[in-house]
Amino acid sequence: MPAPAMTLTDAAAERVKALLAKREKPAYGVRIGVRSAGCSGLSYTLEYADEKGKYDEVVEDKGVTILIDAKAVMFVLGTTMDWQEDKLKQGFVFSNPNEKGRCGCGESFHV
Amino acid sequence: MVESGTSLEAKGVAHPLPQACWSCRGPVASGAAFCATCRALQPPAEIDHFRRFDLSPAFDLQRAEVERRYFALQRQFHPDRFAGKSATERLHSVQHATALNQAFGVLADPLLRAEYLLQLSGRPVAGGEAETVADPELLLEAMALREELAEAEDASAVAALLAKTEAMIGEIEVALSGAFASGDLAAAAGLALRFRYMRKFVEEATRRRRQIGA
Amino acid sequence: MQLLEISEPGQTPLPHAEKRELAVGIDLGTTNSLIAISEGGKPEVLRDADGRVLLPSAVAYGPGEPVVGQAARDLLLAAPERVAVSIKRLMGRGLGDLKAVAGTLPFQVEAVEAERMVRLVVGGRKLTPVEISADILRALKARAEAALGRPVTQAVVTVPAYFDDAARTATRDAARLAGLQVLRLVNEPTAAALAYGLDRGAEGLYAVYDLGGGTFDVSVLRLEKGVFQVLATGGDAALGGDDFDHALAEHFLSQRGEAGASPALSVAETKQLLALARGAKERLTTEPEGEWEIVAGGVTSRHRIGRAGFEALIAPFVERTTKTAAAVLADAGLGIEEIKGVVLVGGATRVPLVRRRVGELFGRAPLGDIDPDQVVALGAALQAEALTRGGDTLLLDVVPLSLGIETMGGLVEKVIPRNTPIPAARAQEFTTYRDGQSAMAVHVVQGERELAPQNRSLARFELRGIPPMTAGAARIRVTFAVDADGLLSVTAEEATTGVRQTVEVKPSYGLSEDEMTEMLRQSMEHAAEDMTARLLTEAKVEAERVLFALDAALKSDGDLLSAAARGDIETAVAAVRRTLQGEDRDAITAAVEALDKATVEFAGQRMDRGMQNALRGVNIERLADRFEQ
Repeated sequence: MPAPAMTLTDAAAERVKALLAKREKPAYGVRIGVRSAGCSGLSYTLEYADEKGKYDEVVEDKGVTILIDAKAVMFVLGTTMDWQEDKLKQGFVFSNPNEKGRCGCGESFHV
Repeated sequence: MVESGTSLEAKGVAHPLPQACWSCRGPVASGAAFCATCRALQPPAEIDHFRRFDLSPAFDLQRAEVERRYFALQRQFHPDRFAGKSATERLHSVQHATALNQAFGVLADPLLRAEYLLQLSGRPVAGGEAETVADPELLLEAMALREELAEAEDASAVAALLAKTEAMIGEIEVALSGAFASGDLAAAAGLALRFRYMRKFVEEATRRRRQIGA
Repeated sequence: MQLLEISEPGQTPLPHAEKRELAVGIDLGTTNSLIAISEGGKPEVLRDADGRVLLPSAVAYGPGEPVVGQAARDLLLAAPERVAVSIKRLMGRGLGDLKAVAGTLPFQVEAVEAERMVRLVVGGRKLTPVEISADILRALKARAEAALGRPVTQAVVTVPAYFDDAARTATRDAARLAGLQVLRLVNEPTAAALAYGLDRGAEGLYAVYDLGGGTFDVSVLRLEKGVFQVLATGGDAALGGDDFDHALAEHFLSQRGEAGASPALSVAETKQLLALARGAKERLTTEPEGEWEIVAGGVTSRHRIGRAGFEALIAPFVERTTKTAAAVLADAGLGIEEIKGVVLVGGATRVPLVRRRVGELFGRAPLGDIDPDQVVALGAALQAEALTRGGDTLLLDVVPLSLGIETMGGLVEKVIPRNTPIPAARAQEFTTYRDGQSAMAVHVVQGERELAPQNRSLARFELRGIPPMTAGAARIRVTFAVDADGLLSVTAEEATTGVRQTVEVKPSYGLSEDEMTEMLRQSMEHAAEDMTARLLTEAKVEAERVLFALDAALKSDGDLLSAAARGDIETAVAAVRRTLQGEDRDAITAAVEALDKATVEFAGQRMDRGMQNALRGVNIERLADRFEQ
């Protein structure tokens, strides 16, 4: 069996499960995409998925279903999705070995 | 349930075939405001004012209801909602908002609404010079009112005349409602013409009252 | 590090949303200008380094960079020939219009053709009011950038409701020159209502009485559940607090005359006298009387006046405003008793007589708890936020002055009557009056008078190439369109023979595209760069749209594509994405065009599928369901 496209930390998996449970309608999973925006070209999108898209890559990890948009696969390959939380802010992050540069604010990246 | 495309046509769906979306170039259901695929705003459909407000053509409309729909639609289509969008979508939103303003102007005004209904049913009120002469009764009535206005010497006399005319307009509206309800378009056309004359007279009298006041 | 939240499908917020879409609200006033920003529905006026809110609308020109604000106003006394003030009164005005304000504006005016915008001689330069206003806007922009610590390129700019098309266009051009993209021109009373309405959750009919330095506006609005619907508007674009100053100045001058001093003053002395009169007006607002000293032509005179004397001088102007307000109400078919509240806007509403008269007219004490100097800028900031970040309010404004065309005999045929909700479009048909007539002159005017020369001339153009026909047979359709900024465009076409031509009209008093480009080129600031940047942004927005649309199309119909066709499209997409990371507008446009070509066949396949589905009855059944409901 090939290595999964990406993995989740325990914190991320727990958080996704909690959010999916809170959502008003049931979701198939969570979809990761990329789009061109921001100061250095591309940025992630993270959305609830209502159904699996034809070209989505499916990752099942720690009881969570993650769909990766076909366009995004090469960007997230080998990344780990984590949940970070401190006094001021919280959110999911991808630690991404593919990234060569980030803009100063960390909101977008190029490969 | 309608079973075939032909009976649909009979229901007034002129172009059941999809149109091409200007943005993603895929099919968009005829008359849809937004592309179901890429969500781009389409140009406004060429439909009558009633359909634009999702109302069936009728003279009896509640102004509050027309207003409610107008505000809801403008909230959706007004250019202020598209300030950050592409130039084409901004243009389409101006076209939508313009069409909504136009429709509201007609639907919210009983005279314009009556005239528009007559036009839709193929019986436009010409209101031209020829029509004036064609209805001697109306002509006499209008002339009598004009004379009264000319003789009115103070603001209260003009105000009394205005009140009288407004009451007549109220009666015309009731009669129009009846004429449209019974499908008597000839009567409706006559009433609409009389309404138009009264409206003109009210404008004149209002101007006169302002002159006297000043 | 980007911290992501999970969003609903398609709702992921754009990165840098707070940086990319920061837009300010600007009140470009006759006397003072302000800039404000709103975040989270809380508008706030931005201050300069010294904490000042009002930027005096005065610009001083000399050998170096223009000086804007208080420093320029201070210079008014020492070097009046170098200072431009009250410039708003000249926006979009021609030489002919100057007669209306003659004597009140101590400017040296350069002779220009009859129907062109005036140029003023200030500090040895010849400048249009647009350029001078642009300098004020640049100063406001710089203030906002300093206060916010980031570039500001988008703004909502307010204009008097009663501004005609030429003055609106001039305002928009001034902002462009200053490197600001105007998201919307908003009428000042409407902006004020927005600030009040949102603040207090007001509902019902409200009147806004806005007496600024040089303009007077009155609007009646209906406020209801976030909808701000202007029902009627009126006013006077050449009446304001400045007139109070002039009345005082003239009073002092005539007193000097009686005392034997020569009444003739130099341009410099006139400006000094006006500054003194302004000070006197402000003092008489809070104090019962005062004494002032005028030094001119080597003669010193002393003048004492009390509030009653001052009120007698300005009463005719105040009377004009209350009459206008009553007429606007009558126009909207409303009685005074229906008005739930009156909002006071503009510094001149601080004058006690104004407050009294407005209170008497409406039979209730006017609202003035938001600073009348700030309320317009605050409203503009709220609208700027709504336009860039989305909002729930809806502003529905109207055309302030009827728009029409001059017909035979110099009469005006109204095409769009005043108080028509905008955006609006109306078409009117005209015909030829001579056999074989091949051209037709079209004169666009704005105003309420019956004769064309009594109204404001906006534009003239000639429609040529009308096919020869007998008189009255040609059908020339003239279409007026007013956009959400209240700006007019006119097109004309001959419709009978299929010979169609369309003429776009530029306002007579506006700047031509060439003049604009030249001014941008000459501009010492970065306006030209800003322009390039804006074009680049537009190209990027367009490219993003194409990518987004294609992405959606691929999701829904991607299965139609062969692997090879999909590969071609993906190559073209990648090319667009590459150009998007750069700053080359032409490269972006070229890549988007190439992508367009690469997807033509796909688009065709999708339409075919759509048609087949429709014919198979799938869509029709759905449609039918809808109609059965």
